This record gives sequence, structure tokens and C-alpha cells, in this order.
Amino acid sequence: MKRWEISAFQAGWLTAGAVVLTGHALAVTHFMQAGGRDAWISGLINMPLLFLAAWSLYRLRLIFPRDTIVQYLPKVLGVVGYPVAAIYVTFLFGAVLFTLRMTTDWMVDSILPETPALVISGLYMAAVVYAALSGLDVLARINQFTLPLLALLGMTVSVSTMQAKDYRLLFPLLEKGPWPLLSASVLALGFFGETSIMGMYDAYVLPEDRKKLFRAYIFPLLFIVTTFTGPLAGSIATLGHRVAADMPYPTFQHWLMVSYARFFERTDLLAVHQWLAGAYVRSGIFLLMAVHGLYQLFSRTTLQKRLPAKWLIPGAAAALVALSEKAIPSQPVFDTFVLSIYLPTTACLGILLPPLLLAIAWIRGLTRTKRGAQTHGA
Amino acid sequence: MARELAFQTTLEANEAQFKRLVGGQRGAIFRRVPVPDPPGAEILLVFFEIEMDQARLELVVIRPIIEGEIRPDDLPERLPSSTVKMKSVEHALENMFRGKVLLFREGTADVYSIEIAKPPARSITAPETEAGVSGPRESFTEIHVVNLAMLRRRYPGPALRAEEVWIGKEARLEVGIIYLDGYPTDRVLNEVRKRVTQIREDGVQDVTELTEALADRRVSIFPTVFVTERPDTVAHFIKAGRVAVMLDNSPRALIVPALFTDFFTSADDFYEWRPFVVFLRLLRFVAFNIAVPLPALYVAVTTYHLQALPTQLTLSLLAQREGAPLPPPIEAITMTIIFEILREAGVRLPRAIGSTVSIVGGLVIGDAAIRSGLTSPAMVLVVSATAVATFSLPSTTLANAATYYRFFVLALTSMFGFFGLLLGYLVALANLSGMTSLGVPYMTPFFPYRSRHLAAALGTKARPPKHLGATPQPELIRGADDFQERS
Repeated sequence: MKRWEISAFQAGWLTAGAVVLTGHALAVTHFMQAGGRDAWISGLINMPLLFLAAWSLYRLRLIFPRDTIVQYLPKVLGVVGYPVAAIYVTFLFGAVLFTLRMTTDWMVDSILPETPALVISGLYMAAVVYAALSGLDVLARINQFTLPLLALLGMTVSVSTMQAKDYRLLFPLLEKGPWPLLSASVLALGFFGETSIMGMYDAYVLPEDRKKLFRAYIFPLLFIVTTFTGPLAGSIATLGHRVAADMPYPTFQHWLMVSYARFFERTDLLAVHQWLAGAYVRSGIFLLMAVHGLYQLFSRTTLQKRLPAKWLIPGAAAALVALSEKAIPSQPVFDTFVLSIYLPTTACLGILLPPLLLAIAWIRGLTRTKRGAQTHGA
Repeated sequence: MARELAFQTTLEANEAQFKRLVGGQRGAIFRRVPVPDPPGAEILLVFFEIEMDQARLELVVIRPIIEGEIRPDDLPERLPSSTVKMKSVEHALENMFRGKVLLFREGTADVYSIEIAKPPARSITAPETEAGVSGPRESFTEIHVVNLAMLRRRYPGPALRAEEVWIGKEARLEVGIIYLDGYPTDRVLNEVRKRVTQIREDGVQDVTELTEALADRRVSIFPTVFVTERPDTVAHFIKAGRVAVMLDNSPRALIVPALFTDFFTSADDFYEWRPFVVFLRLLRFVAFNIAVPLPALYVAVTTYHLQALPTQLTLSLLAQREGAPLPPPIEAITMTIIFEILREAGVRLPRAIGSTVSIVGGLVIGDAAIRSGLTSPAMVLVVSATAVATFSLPSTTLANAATYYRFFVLALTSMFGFFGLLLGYLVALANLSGMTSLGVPYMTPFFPYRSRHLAAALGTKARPPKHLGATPQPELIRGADDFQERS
């Protein structure tokens, strides 16, 4: 891998850019179906746990400034760390698969109904491979352009549909007891757990003061909780929770409501932009980090020398395209994959694992840190 | 062959040696000049007749020697100040081919070259490709020393440095590396020196041939080296911490590092009212974003996403396309190619005819194509708007890049609609984000974001400071460069 370094600011934005799409578009229906009317607060009640996970990741970064999460897992957990690291790398590939499948399905459903899904996913992944091969710093720069634009468009659609919103539909809360909310919260934890990808590249953050570094962990949380709560609340306020839960892409429906005078009757093409730009950065960073994690996992066998990134990244992308088409033949199978495998795994790895690692590191006396975090290139 | 040669101590031997080396060349003159004291002694002058200022040679060298004003023992003190002692036969040959006179004396192996050349040169003219409304109206010529003199007049301070580097193996050419002392970072400056000195190619005709050596990537659609023919533009850029590279025989200068925003700079930007410059810069950014995707956007909407348009407009577009033989993607590609051919014809033909061909060709062909039903008025409108947007870009290299990307995005959109258009845009974004110019991220100050450089990129600092050269202003490059060095 080439030498990478990004600023703390870029790292924070990159995490936000990599994760935001899940809560915004990819998994909204699942949260709606699980939480009903209460789904919109499922993110908010998770905040303490999210802060704990983010703070743990930050502390781990200070303890292991030169290591990625895949590298310090064995240092903290011993031999057990290797299978956990392997699961973590698998989760990274899983995130790409999840994004790829959702993006392809949505493109077919919304704008390219007659184009074969394989062509769409192949083309999309080819573009993702190009970005991933460019490196971490390049992905961070792409994200610096796309994320503000996404936020701007999101706010535009939110304001443009204000007239159609009835915020009374958000209440009463806990109408059916605490269980719907809790089940949506568990799913939401899976989504928020994706922020642990920061543990894969925080080792490449430029040496900066601790305050800036800490902000890089906290900013994505605030950003994604806001962008998660907003669209969910908006969908419920606009469509009602029952209708919204039955729609495959409730946030997309907002775009269908927006029209500008006589010039644009439908602005849903902008939703394509939002989705694709978000998915592009997300897939690129997860793919790159997955391959990077794979190299670190197999460092002893010099995998990188035998299979350089310029071959492994396209190879992995091709395998994911094939998997997306063949291993997940139908929507129910895909939903099962998301609900039963992907989100629970992510919740464990992203929310529970960092505090656990920190606690074990404390117990094992690994927590002595030096002021001024160091960094290194890969 | 020449490497094993050495200067001889007799005129006969030196003459024989040089006749062997250059005797067959047309215009090579071997002239013996008699010296009054001691009687019968001579001095040998060797030069190319066609490159020589004969009258001056006669006046400052030959006549003083014949009349005894300059004695052989006085040489070279009494000769013009440009007289240089030759180190080797190769050195002497190089000087001779550069139009200098070689001077040999009897009984010594000391050989001198005298600068009395009068190479063919044109006078200083107004800029042709970077014409502006305000600001100076002079452009570089093919003579490096003249170009350097123009730059020194524009920046008459001691900070202006002009280093001399020779490129090539046999037919060596002088390259000037020009910068303000302390402005570019050492890394950038050393990188320029290294890359220029590594050029081994002989017979380089224009400085633009060096862009490949100075660019970070051999193949790149977007330009990473800024080319200018204006001395004032060079002066402005070196004040911003850049390095200029000039070549003898070339009427242009290269500026490195060159960032994406630099290619939106026009010569007038340095002299106009700043708020207006900001407006123009933004307008050019918009024009670039029209020039690249507009035909693709039209194809996407008319072929794949008609629902995005109002019903009335959709019906109108469909009515216009009634009977059109080609589907919109093919029509768009064909029309864009025709436009490029017209543009190329306009550039290649003499100026008076060229503009006529462009306008008449565009109007007549466009009108005829609509009347014959081969294309729709909307398509002609789209291609024309694209053309106008392309022409508004101040840099031809950037306009060329826009053209390449237009075809790329058009091809993707023709196959995949808005999905292809967005994917093309994202790939372009990835490409731009990964580019560097001498190691400086190409998209600075947008990403990596540098708020304090953003204003300069938008043109608010385009004007020179009141006290020229009094305050170093290399922040744009230094900041970006610092970042790059840390990263």
C-alpha cells in the first residue's frame, strides 16, 4: 500500500461520509418496520453507547497510535484476536456487499429498470475500484467534495417538503410499549457500529493535538445521528409510519414530492446523485480498508508481495459483484442477510468491541500512553 | 569522436582539426587575420557566416587586431566582455554552433569564444493566444535573453533568480529556471531542477515539449503545467511561489506547480476590479461544468428520464424529434464531433478565414441540419451552448480536457442514463482528487480544503501587491506544499 496520511478533520468527515448512507437510505425500511412510529428516536437513545464506543476507539488510538484495529486486536486479545480480526475484515467486505446490492437494486427499481443488474453492479464497482486504488488520501478528498453537497441536497429536500409534513404524526411515543423502540435501537446500533471503520485508518491521521483528534471521533456521531433522525422523522411526518414502513425507499419518496415551478416536475434525479455519491465514497473506503485489513491479517505470509493491491482490489470487487448477484438471489434473502448477519455483527464489532478492548487493555496494563499521538505510513 | 580531441598549439593544427569537424558545413568560415606585431603572425577566427553580425565582427575584433589596437598578448582583456575561454573542443564546437566566433592564437592552446551572434529573431509582439483588454501588451519571443530581460523589467528586484540548465546530449539547449528567491519551497525547486536536468532529448523545439518531464503523471487528461506567452503572467505567478521554466527558442514559459484553479485564470484577472474577477472566475467554473456534462445531460433526460421535465417541454422536445433519423445519443455524439471538426478547422485556417469558417460553418450546417430533419433545434442549442461554454475557458489545455471528458461522460450516459453521467462525474472527481502538480494536490484549496487559500483561488488576490515584491506571497503553494510534505 502506498504511504497514506490524512488530517483529523478529513478522517472525521470520511467516517461520516462512509456511514451516512446506511441510516439515510440503505436500511431505513428495516428501522421503520422494527420501530414503527418510535423508530425516529432509536438513534437518539443510543447516544450514550455511541459516545462510549467512540471514546473507546479514541483511547485505543492513543494506546496504539501506529496500529489499525486489525493490528491491535491480537495485541489486546492475544490469539483470540486473530479470528476476531478476521471477522472484522469480513465485516468490511460485508459492508461493500451490502452497499453494492442496495445500490444496484435501487438503480434498477428507480431509473434503469431494463438494464441488467450485473451490468450496473459491474460498472459501479469498476468506478469504485478506481477510487480505492487511488488511496486513502484521495478518498478523503473526494468525500470532502461530496459530503457537503449531500448535506446541502438533504436540507433542500427537507425544506422543500415542509408543507407536506405533519409533525404530530411523530407522537405519541411508546404507543406499543418499549419493545418496538428497543428492537429499532438494536438495529440502529448495527448501523452506528459502522463508524468503527475509523479504527482502520485513524493510525494514518496526522499527528495533531488530542482535542482535534477527539473531535474527529465525535463529529461523525453527531452528524450521522442527525442525518439518521431527520429523514426518519421526516418520512413518518410526511407519510405516516405505516405507509413509510411499507415502502422500500421511504426517504426517496421525499424527492418525488419536490418540484420546482415549471422547470423540473420531478427532482428524483437528484436523489440518484445523493445515493450514488454517498455509496461511492462508502464502497471505496470499505473496500480499501477491507483489503488493507486482509494484508495486515496475513502479513506473515507476505500476501501483499504475492498479490499486490492493484490485483487484489479489482479481484475482491469482482468477487463481490458475483456474490451480490449469485449468493443473494432474492430480496428476502438479502433482508435476512442484513437483519440476521450484517447489522448484529456490526453492532458487536463497532459498539461492543471497542469498550471491551479498552477494558482488557486496561486490565492488561497496556493503557500507558504518551502525549502527542504519533503516526506512520503503511 | 570529438571527446578524444584537444586543442593544438599551432594555428595549422587547430584549423585542420576544425575543418575536419565542421569544414563540410555550409557557411563555416575559417578566417586568418594578420597581426602587425610580430610581422607575419596571424590569428584564426572560426565562425558561421549566416549567424554572424558581420559589421560588428569587423568593428570590434578584426579591425582592432589588424590595426594593432589589440595585440595577441592583450587577449582576451581587450575583447568584448562576453568573451569566454573554451574548456574543450566540444565546448568550442557548441559555442560555434550557437553562433559565436572562435578565436585561436599561434603558440597556445587557449581558445576563446566571442559573442557577436546575430541570430534571426522577430520583434516583441502583442500576445496572440492570451490577448487581454487591460494590462501589458507584450509577449515572449524566441530569444531567451530577451525574454529574461522582459521579466527583469517586470520584476526589477534582486529576488528574481534565473538559473541556467542545459538539456540534451549533443544539441544542447539552454533552459531557464526562474523564481523569486525564498518563495517556492526547496522541495519544489529541487524537484524542478532534477526533472529538467534529467531531460536527455536533443532538438527540443518548444518548451511545451518539456511538460511531460515536469508533470507528475505521464498521461493525464487535465493539465498540470500552466503555459503562458505573457511575461506579466509569469511575474504574477512567480510572486505566488511558482517556478517558471523557459527554453531558448521558445516564446512561452511553463509554470509549475499548476493547480486546477490556475487554469481558470485569464491575463486580465490581474488588472481588473477584484469583485468582478471573483464573479468571472465563478462564471468560468460554471462554464466548465456546462462544457463537460451538458450534451450528456440532454441525452440522459431525452432518452432515459423524460419524466424529469415538465409535460409541455417533454411534448415540445418529442415534437422536435419527430422524424429525426438518429437516436439522441448518436445524434449528440455526431453533433459534438462536427462541432470539434469546425473548431479545429477554425484554428488551423488563417485567422481571417478561420473565424468565417467557424461562424458560417456553424450557422449554415446547423440550420441546414435542422431544416433537413437530421437533428432537432434543441440538440443544436445544446451543442452551441456547450461550444460557447468551452470557449469561455481561458486555458486551451483545460478546454481540451473538458472536450475529452465530454465524450467520456457522453458515452457513459448514452448507455446508462443519469447513472452513467454521475458515475463519469465521480470518476472525474476521483481522478482530479488524486492528481498532483510537483507533489502539490491539484485540487487545493477545495480538497484538501484550505480556507485561507480559497479567496486567492477565487481571484480576490489576483492583483499584484502595491509594492511589487515587497511582501512574499507564496501562501497558496507553501500551504499546500507543507500539507503535502507532511502527508
